Amino acid sequence: MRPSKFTIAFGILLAIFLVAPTIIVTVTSFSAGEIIQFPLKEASLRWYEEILTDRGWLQAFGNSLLVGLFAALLAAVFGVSIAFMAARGTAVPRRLIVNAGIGPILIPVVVIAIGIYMVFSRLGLGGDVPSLAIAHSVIGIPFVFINSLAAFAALEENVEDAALACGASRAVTLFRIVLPQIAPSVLVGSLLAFGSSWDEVIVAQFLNTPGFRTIPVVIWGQMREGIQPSTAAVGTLLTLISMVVFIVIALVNLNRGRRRQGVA
Amino acid sequence: MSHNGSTAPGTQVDLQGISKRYGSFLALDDVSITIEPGEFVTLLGASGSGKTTLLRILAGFLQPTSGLITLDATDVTRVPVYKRNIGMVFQNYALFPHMNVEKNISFPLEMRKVPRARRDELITGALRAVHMEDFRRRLPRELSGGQQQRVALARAIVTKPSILLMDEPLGALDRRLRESMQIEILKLSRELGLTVVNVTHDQEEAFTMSDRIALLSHGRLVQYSTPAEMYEKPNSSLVAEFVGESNVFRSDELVTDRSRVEIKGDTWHVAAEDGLERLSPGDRPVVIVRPWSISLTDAADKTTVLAEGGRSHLEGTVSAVIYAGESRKIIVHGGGDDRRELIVRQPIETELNVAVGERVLAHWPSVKNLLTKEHAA
Amino acid sequence: MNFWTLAGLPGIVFLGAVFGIPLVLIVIRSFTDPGPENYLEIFTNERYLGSILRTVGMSLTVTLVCLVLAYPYAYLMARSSTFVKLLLGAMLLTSYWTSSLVRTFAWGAILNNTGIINQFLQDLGVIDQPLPLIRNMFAVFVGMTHVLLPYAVLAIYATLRTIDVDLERAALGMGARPVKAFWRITFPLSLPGVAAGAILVFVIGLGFYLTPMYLGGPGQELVSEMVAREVQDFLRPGRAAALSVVLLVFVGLILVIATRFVGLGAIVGNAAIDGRKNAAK
Repeated sequence: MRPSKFTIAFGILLAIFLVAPTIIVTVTSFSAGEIIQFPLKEASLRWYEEILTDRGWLQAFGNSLLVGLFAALLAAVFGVSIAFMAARGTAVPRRLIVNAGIGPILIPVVVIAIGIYMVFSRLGLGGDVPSLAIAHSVIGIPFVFINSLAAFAALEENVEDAALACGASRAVTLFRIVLPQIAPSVLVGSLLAFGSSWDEVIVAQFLNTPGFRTIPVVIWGQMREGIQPSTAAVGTLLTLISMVVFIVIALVNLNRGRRRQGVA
Repeated sequence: MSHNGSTAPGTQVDLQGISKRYGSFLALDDVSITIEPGEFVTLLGASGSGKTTLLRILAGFLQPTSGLITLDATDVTRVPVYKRNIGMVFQNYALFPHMNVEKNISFPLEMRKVPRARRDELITGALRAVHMEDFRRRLPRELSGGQQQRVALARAIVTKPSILLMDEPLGALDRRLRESMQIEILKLSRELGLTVVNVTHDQEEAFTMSDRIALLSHGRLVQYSTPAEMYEKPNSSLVAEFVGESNVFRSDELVTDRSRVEIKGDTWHVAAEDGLERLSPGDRPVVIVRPWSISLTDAADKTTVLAEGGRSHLEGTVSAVIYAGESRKIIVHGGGDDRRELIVRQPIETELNVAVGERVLAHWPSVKNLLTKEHAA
Repeated sequence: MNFWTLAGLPGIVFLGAVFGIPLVLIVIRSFTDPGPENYLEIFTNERYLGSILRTVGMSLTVTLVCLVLAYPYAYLMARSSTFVKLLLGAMLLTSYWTSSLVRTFAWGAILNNTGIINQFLQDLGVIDQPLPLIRNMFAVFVGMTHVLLPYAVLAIYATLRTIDVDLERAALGMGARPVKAFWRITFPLSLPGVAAGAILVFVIGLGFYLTPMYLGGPGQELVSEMVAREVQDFLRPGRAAALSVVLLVFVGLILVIATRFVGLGAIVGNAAIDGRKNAAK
């Protein structure tokens, strides 16, 4: 049934509701004044100039980027590993492993945050890129796990048998036959993991120190002190990077020639 | 079709007392098969017969619960698949989807540490053998099913393996392609002198290709012999029924003496002499006749036809005439309490001398009867 | 142990160390720091109870509203002309990929006393005093709905687009009116997607932190915020742990019940992982 005009009108209103915040933040980031204005009275790039020349912001930007990349890498390695066990392992029931692999995205982040905080503070970890990356990789693992498990399910097991028959050991089969086939899905999962680290506040907030902050933590701090156009500018940059990640994912999926597999 | 250095002699394969148990389920029950070098053997059976399990055990994907596998008198029972020098072809081609044709074929060479300098020559030879020289750079998904299976075959033979294993290699192809591939595979394996073990449920394929056939049923080896022997001297009713369309006669009313078996029903009477030696005391005899051996005449001619003696017969009504390609299938319904039916086949070129509903006498020389025993389940 | 189990060990060990151990530690601490009375406190103190009820109530409300809004949107995405489809999809994904932090920030800017709506209305002369649009449950509701709506749309859309349009056409061909064809054919078939979306939104909603903290009013904290404050402001990690356990058990129960009807994979947007692995043959 073709949607009615009324439904279309409703959809467009809802779409405007959905994008309004993004547009407002983006527009106000170009404000020339000290306070948030919408619509804009006068446009300028002064806030971008401010953040792009500020050492603190640049450092936070670097921290976020490093944490995100490192977390995505860890999530890729371990997420795929768990997917192997879920797909082909025989020792543990598949259901249990799937629950473990998906668990971190269904559990409230604050619980993960205080749990890791409790462990890390005992071990004297925190306040640097590696410890936050390790913490964030937990949140990223499900994205890699879900995507690679789905890719795994679509593989033909005969192909691996063929590799073994060709004289390849299990390990060679894994690296030369299995991984290349699921690589696009692992990449998509890793990008999603990067995205989840990139704008993560809660865990980062628990593990930050005055000398080590990520962009979201700085924004969150600013927000609680009062809204400034510079916050909007940083937020816009944050979103811009997320969009780039999304576009790369879309391109990978397009290239894969398959229908997109869940974004969650 | 030439393949350099194609004189690699095949390997002798010996499977001794192979059993495979999954919990309480016995997938293979004490199967022993010896395959001579260069022989083409087919494991034939319905699904669930254990044929694929046996092949996977021979390949090394599975470990037998008990039994011994030797290749050229070397025990390989505990050798993992990738250390057995085998080539294998799968039903769904199982080409590496992310590698082009050339890389697919190069893969086993790399794994077996063939020097880079020699690979290209071997790849070219294998591609030529399967007539796929022009497809080197194609990805598997850019090839048709038949072409993919050719590449898979090239990949399986490029290392000159000691045995070639094929798991329903033609199952996914259409009939015409299947028939031409059968001949090609056979020619190729003969040229290379490969020992081949093929798995299929298609008895026509088994008969076309094999030197010997191992018929499996419910995990047991029922008969292991040449196709001709299997057809002409089935060692049980199960074999006879599996390897061709059959009319099977069983009856409580039977006469046995040292020279012949005679059994009869309400409307029929069959006798058999050949094959008596294959029966042991206590076996239930079964008489089988192939539909091609049977002639039909007007029921009125019964006395004339049977006068000369030595003929088996059934009297009944033609209940259907079915045209099936190059032959015609005629069903004769004997009536009587045993509701006996008989399948008769005639070449399509012969004139049809009966009509549906007509009373006929189906008769054939008793020497055409195959005598065998009831298969013990 | 087969090869694949071995290959999975690094992942399981890592997840166990960085995810499993913290969870276990939370449970232990909830009973020992200072003792089980943490739970007594949670179930008797108005502050905690109120927060738990508020969280569940808010999450439920947001879930219901999200479903009602998301369904027609997803339907449009599945059944409109390519142009409308692309437009709605692009706007949805723009929103989805904007950080929830930034979106929460934006809602602050929109709803503030000196924010966009109040300024606009005051400029028009409709109101003299700013409307109380922020620091209350309404603001939290708007913010949470906005963040969670895309999840609901994507879950429903994932199911709707697999429903063959021909089914509706067939129903129409048999004389059903369009509205009836929708309610009798398409809607029942889309229910798994609706259920998956509902569970996902509800469960994520239970753990919401930034939005309620930034847009909510004093004394109206949701559970996640309480957990964080117990650790950071009141230095009572045991209490925080107990509150976390309550939250975990609740989320766990919901998922246990939900997965009897919808696969976990479908809930997180990838039904492909629910079935047993595809047999190759």
